[in-house]
Amino acid sequence: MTHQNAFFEALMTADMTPPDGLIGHSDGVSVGQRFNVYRNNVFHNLIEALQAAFPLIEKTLGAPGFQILAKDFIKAHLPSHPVLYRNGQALPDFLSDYAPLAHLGYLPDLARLELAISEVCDAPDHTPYPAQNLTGLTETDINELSLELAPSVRILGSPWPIYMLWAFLTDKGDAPDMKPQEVMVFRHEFSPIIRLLPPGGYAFLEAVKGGEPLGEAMTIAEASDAALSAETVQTIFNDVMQYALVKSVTMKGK
Amino acid sequence: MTKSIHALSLAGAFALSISTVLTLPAEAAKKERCYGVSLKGQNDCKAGAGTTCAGSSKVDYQGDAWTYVDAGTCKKIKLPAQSDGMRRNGSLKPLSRDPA
Repeated sequence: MTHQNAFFEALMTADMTPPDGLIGHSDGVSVGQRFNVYRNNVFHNLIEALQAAFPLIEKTLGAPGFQILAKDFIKAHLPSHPVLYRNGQALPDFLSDYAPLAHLGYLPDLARLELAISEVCDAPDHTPYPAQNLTGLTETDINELSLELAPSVRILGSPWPIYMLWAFLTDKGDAPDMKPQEVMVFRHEFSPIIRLLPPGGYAFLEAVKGGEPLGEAMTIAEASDAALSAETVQTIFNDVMQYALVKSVTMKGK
Repeated sequence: MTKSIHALSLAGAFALSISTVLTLPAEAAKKERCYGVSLKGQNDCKAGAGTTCAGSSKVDYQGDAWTYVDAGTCKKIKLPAQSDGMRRNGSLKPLSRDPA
């Protein structure tokens, strides 16, 4: 074990002399130089995996800034999962405590959004519940209906303008106003879709995802956000139906 | 009393969203993958396990990167010519022009 520990320590420490006992080709390149190449490759690969998963964090910081962040992160969070994007799972929390970037308070939530986008791409398919089976329901039926949504559907709330940040960084919108925003992220066919949630939408969807019947979800959302409106509910239902995000339904007491 | 008003708007919103989706012509929703038309960093992704390739294309009109477009429109998309004057067209299959 001590050999492994020494090897590992040298791998993680820039310019550290490699442990004793390593042998290289006898072609004039020293073991130390070869070890540097190896160390560089290990970090380069892990940094590229983070770049692929967090392109907007990289765009915000610029490539050199991202390299520094990525190296610090990788040293603190070694790969733990064969699916590469999941090795960035701890990046949002890491950013919350990362003093050099503390002035960019929105970075952790931006990283959470990018993680959610990776997750929805990786989420299982579902067979949509046929919309025609949901016609002709009475008011009471609809109030008592619980919807199981597609496995890809995620909701994310932030004290930062998370949707405008995403839109700005992907060249779809202007510079953000500083206000809280909430989003829904899901997969349609092969593409992730990010939707801004109107006021009360997060609370409503959270209740729906928690299995509450629609009437109950509406009451819960009204209690938590006075700004919930009929338009909010309409917007959400429209997306849910247009993108066939209902997997199954259950009626209270049936 | 308040509750019944909300029940109405909830039920109305729900029913409206369903009738809207049921009256959409199926053709309108059809998309095809179109290669060689994505701007740099704006391609769509087939998202195999563990990949996040959406937005990963390195050059404009990269031949092996694609974007979903309305079915039947891919080959008609107007693109600027290549630097050697060769025409660029969208394709339903990956292209070798404009490599990453």
